[in-house]
Amino acid sequence: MKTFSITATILVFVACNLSAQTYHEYKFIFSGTAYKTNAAGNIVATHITDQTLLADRARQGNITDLATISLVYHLNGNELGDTIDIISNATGQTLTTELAFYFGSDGGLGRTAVTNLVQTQERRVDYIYTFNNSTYTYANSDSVGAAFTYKSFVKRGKETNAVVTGTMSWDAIPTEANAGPVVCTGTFSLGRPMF
Amino acid sequence: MISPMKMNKVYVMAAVALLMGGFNAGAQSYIEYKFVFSGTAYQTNAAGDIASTPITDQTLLQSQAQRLNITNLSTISLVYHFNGGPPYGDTVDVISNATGQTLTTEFGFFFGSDLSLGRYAVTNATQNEQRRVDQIYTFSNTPYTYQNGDSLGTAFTHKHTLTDTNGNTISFVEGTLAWDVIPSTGNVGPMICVGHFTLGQPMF
Repeated sequence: MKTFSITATILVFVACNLSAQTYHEYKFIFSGTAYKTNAAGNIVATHITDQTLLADRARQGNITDLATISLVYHLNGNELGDTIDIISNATGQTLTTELAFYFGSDGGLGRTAVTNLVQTQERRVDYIYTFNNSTYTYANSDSVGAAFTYKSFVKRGKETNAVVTGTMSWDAIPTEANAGPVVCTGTFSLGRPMF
Repeated sequence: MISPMKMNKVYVMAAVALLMGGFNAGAQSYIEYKFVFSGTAYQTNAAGDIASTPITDQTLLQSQAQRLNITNLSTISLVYHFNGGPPYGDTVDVISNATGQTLTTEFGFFFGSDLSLGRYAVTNATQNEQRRVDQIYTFSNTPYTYQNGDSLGTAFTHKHTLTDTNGNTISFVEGTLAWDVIPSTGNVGPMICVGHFTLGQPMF
């Protein structure tokens, strides 16, 4: 009887500790439009989602099973700010970075976020950086767009969940991965916590 | 003597000449249109919460008018100025309605298609439609702008130009923009602004 009680206590404690972890990677949910000039010379709009971005990069990496990887919003993915990474679902390992949200609050550049007093909410204009040549990204050292981002951190017990939503737009210049320029725009939010 | 037939001919010719003159007068291509904006400004209030306030083009115009000591807002306008900041791009200016003179610049929409920076607009083959991500620059300290050397936001811009058979050109620009403002003499706390813009009536 005592053994059962101790075991139950341990199980409950472990469960609490497990749920107490604060996640720093969440599924990145995106819905938007990519604009390109078609063969007839007209600008055409194509609906794109996070799965479009993921599939495009997976193809480049010769990954055929999309169920093994995810596109995630990575809080502080880099010392410069948050990143949108492609990770292995099994290990959490970052395989590549799709987008970065940098320099949204940098006094040296004259940029600032608006934050509430208790530091749980933030509105900011993040600059978007892309690092690889793909259909929707371009390896560039300058920013290629921006996101208007709302961040909120909600504490439930010992667990803190991030809520991030926003609008974003960026462009990609033609490369070997992309025959013509692309301008993308859309909205994003976070899905379930991953790691 | 002019016969009735000739009278008719003269009348028709005069009418054609008048119409031609009228069309020629209207054939100008405007480069400045009223800038119509509707959005929200976010700031931290005295209670420490992020508060949102609706802002419009008139809010922006008023804040610049105050800085310029202009009390009669009907004498000035906020306009979208095509190629107002050569060689960098378009601007949103405060102008005199009487003369069209630019009194100050509210925003620069710069470097949206600059290959040296790795940025590229999407344009159609006939060059009359474009989708682009412009970098927003501000040049003066007001409640809604900050004098800064770096960009402070971006606009996702759709530009479209129509030309009729007489050469009259009318431009349409619409988009979303977001920018931030750090505290300065014109603004006690940081601010983030976001909204949607279009063009209104052609001005000059």
